[in-house]
Amino acid sequence: MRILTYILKRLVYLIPVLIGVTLLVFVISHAIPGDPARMMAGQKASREAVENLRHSLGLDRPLPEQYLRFLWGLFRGNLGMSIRNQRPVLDDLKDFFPATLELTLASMALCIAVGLPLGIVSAVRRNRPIDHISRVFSVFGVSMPVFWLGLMLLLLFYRNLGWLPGSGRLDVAIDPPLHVTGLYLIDTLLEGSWAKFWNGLLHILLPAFCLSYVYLAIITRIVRSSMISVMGQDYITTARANGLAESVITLKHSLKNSLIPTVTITGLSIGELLGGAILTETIFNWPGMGKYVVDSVNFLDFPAIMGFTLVVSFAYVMINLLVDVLYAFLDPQIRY
Amino acid sequence: MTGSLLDIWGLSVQFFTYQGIVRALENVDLSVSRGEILGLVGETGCGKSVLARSVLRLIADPPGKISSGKILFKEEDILTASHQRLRHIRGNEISMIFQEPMSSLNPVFRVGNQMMEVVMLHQQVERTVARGICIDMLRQVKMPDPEAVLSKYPHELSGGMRQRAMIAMELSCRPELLIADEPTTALDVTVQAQVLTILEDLTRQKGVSVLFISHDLGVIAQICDRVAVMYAGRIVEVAPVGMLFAAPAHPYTVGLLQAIPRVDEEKERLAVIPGTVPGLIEPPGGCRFHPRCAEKVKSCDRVVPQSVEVAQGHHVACHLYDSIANQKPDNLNSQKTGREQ
Amino acid sequence: MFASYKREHEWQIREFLFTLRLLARNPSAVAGCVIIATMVFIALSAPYIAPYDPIRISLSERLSPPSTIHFFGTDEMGRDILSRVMHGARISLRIGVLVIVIAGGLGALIGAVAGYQGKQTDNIIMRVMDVILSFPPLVLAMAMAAALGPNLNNAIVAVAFVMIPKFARMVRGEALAVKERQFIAAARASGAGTLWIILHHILPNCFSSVIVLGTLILGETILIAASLSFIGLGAQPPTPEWGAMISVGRKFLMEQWWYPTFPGLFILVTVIGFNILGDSLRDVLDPRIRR
Repeated sequence: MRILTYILKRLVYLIPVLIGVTLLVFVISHAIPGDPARMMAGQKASREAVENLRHSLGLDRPLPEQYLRFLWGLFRGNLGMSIRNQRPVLDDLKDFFPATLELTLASMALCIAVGLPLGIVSAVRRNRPIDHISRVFSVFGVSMPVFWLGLMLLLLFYRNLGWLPGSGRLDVAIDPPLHVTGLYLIDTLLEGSWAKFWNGLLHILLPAFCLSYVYLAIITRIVRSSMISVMGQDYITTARANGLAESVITLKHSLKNSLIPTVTITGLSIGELLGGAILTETIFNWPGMGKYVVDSVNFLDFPAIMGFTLVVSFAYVMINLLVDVLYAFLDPQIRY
Repeated sequence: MTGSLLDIWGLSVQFFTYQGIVRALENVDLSVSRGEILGLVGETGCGKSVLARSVLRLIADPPGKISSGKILFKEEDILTASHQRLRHIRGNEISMIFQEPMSSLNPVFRVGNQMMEVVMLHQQVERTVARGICIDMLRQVKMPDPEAVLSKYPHELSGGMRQRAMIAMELSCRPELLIADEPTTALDVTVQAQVLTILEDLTRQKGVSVLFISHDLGVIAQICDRVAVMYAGRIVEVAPVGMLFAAPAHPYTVGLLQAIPRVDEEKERLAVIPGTVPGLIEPPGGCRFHPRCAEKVKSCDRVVPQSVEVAQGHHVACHLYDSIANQKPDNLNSQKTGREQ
Repeated sequence: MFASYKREHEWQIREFLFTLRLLARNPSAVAGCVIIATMVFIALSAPYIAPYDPIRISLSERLSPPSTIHFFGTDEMGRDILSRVMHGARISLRIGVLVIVIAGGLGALIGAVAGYQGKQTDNIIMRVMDVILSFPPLVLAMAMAAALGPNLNNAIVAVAFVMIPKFARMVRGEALAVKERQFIAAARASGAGTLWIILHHILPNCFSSVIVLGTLILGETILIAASLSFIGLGAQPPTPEWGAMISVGRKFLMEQWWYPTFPGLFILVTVIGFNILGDSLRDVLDPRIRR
C-alpha cells in the first residue's frame, strides 16, 4: 500500500510537468513563421479554403483559448491532422509505433546483455587490458554520430561482407506475419514461420546495434563506476572476511547494490533511445515513428511533428516515473 | 588447552600511494593464546586495523602489500595458504567483527539472508537447519524476537542490535579466534557496556580467543587478559592487563595512562603527550616515538629498540631498558614480544 | 591596474596554473587538447590552406575516389571533399561555441537566480527547467528548429534552448552552496543588491564548473547540430556542414563510400576530443583528487 501512495504522489507531481510539456509544444507550434492555416491547407488551397480551415481549427480565436481547445483535444486523443497523409496524426503514430517499439526493445536488450557483463568485468579487472578497452569503447560510444555509425555498418556488413540486409524489417518479397502484437519477431514465432523469424532477426540486428551503441557505452560506464564504488564498501569486506567466494561477492552482494544507479540510467536511456530512433530508422529505412517524423520534417508537416514530439515526451516522462518506482523496489531503504 | 593459537612474526605492511610508501606496519610480533582475550590498543592511525585485516589477508593489493613476515595460525602460515584454505578459515576458524555496524551489513539483503549464507557455506547445512542455528545464535546475543530480526533489513535495526547480529553471525560457525576491530567504538556508551558484556560472556563460554582492538583504555581494562600497545606501526609494549595499568614501562603507555581523565583527581588541565602522531611515509628513524618522548636517550633516534622482558610476561621495546637487554643473554634471543617462554 | 587585479585574484590565478599543470600530466587531457587544437587550427586556417574552394563545382570530376589531387575524393558536383570538410570544421566549431556561450550564459544566470533566491522562485524556475528536460534533446531541438525554419541560426537557437536546463541545474546547485558562505552575508550587510551579488560573487564561484560542463556538453552539441542538419533542419546544402554532407552523401554510400565517410569521421574525432578533455578536466578539478 505504501508503494501505491508513493506512485500517486509522484503522479501528482508529474501533472504540472505534463501540462508544461503541452504548453511548450503549443508555444513552439505557434512560433511557426507564416500562416499555420495555410500550412495546414497546403500551398495550393484557395484563399477561401484556407479561411474555412482557419475558422474550423479555431485559429482565429485568442491564444489562451486556443491552448485550452488544444488541451481538450489532447484529452480526447486528437493530435491534429497530418498534412501529408490527410489522416489523424494519432492514427499515423499508432501504425508506426510497433516498429519503433520493437527496435527500442531490441536495442535495450542488447544494451543490457552486453553492457552489464562488460561493466562488471571492467570493474572487477580494473586497470587491466579489458578495462582499458571498454573505457575506450565508452568514449567512442558517447562521441559517435549515430547516423554515421549506421552508414559505416551498412558499408561493412551489407555492402562489403553481404552478411546482413540493409533496409526494412523483412525482405521485400516476404509478407509480414499476422498482426498480433505488431512486433515481427514475436508475431512470426506465434505464427510458427521460422524462416520469417530468421529474416526479421537479420533485419533488426544492424539497426538495433546502431541504436544501442551510444547507450551501451553509457551503461557500461555506469555499471563499472557504481560497481567500483560499491566494492569499496565495508559490507563487501565483511562478506570477504566471512569466506564467501569472489564470484558470490561480485554477483550477489556488489551487483544488487550497483543496480540502483544502473537502473536509473537505463530507464533514462530508454527515453533517449526514442530520440535516437529518429536517426537510426532513417538510415535503415525502418518504418517506425522516427522515420515518420523525419519524412514529416522534410514535408514541413507540422501537426505530425508536434504530435510526435508530444507523444515521445509523454512516454519519456512516464518511463522516468516507472524508473523511480523500480528504484523503490530495489532499494529497501526507500520505502515510502 | 594453552599454547599459541595465533603467532605473528615480523609482519610488515606497506601501502603504495601517490605521495609515497606508507609504512603502516613495521616488524610486528604478536601472539594470541588459546582462550585468552588479547587487547590491542593505540591511537587512530597506529596500524591496529591494518594488523587485524592482515591476519585474514584482507589488505587490498594494490595499494597495500604485506611485504614480509609470517602469520602462523595453528602452526600454519596464513600468508602462504592457498585461496581455498583461506576461504575456509575466514568466517569459520577465524572471524572478524568491524567497527561500523551501520555499514558492515549489506543494506539490500535481509539480516537473516546474510547470516544464513555464512552458516550454509561453512557448515554445509540446509536452509532450515541454518535458520535454526541463526535463531539460536541471536538468542545467545540476547536479541529480542530473533525470528523477526531475521527478516529485517539492516537499517531497520539499531546500532547495538546490528552489532549483536554481527557477533551472532561471526560466532555462528564456532571460530577459534575472533578479531574484534573496535566493535563498540561507534555505539552509545550504554549500549557499549551491553555489547561488551555479551561479547565477553560468549567468548569465554565457548573458549574463543579474542584479539580485541580499541583505542579506549577503559574498555580494554574491562575485558582483556593481556594488552599490547601499538604506536606508529610498531608494538611498543605487551603485558598482562593488571601489570600494564599498575606499572607501565614504555613512556608512551605512561603518557596514555596519564592522559585519561579521572574523577578522583583534581586537575586543571588534562595531561597530554606533546606533539602529534607521525606520518607513516617518512616515519622517524630509530624508535618512532622519540620526537615526543620525555625520557629520550642517545640511541633513540638511530637504533630501533628491541623488545625485552622486564617482568614475567611483560615486554617493552624501549632503549630505557637496554641495560636489561644487555645483562640477560636470553633476552637477546627472545626478540619477539608476547611469547610465553 | 593590472597589478591590482592580479593581487585581488592571486589565489584564483594560482589555482588556475595548478590546474594547468595537473592537466599537462594527464594523458587524456593532453590527447583531448591536441585533437581540439588541431580542429581549431583547421577551422581557422581553412580559407587559407584548403586545397580548393569548397563550393567550386567541377562536374567533370564528380564522384571521383580519393586520389593525390583530391585526398578525400569529390562529391556529386565535383567539389573537393577535403576542402569542404575543413570548412565544415569552421561551421561546427562555431555552432558549438555559440551554443555553449548562449546556453551557458543564460543557463548560469537562470540557475544562479533560482539558487540564490530560493523558495518560490527556485521552485518555479526549476519546474520550467524540468519541463524542458522532459523531452529527449534531439526531439525538442528538432521541433523547435522545424518551427523556426530550417536554417543554421535557428538550429543554434534550438540547440541552445535544449542545453540551458543542464547549466541552470548545475549552477543552481552551486549557488545554493555558495550563498551560505560568509562573504555573501557580509556583502549583503554592506548593502549590495541581489543582482550585484549574483553577478559578482555567485557566478564567478561557479565559473570552473561551467567550463567543465561546457566542455562536456560541447561534444553533445556538435552531435545534435549535425543530426539536425542530417535530418534537413540545420545547415542547408550547399553549406559544407558535416551533417548536411552526410545527409546528401548517404545516397552515394554504396558506390562512393568516401563521400559520407570522411565528414562523419571528423565529427567523431572532434567530439571525442571534447569528451576526453571534459572528462579529464572534471577529474582534475575534483577537490578530492587535487590534494
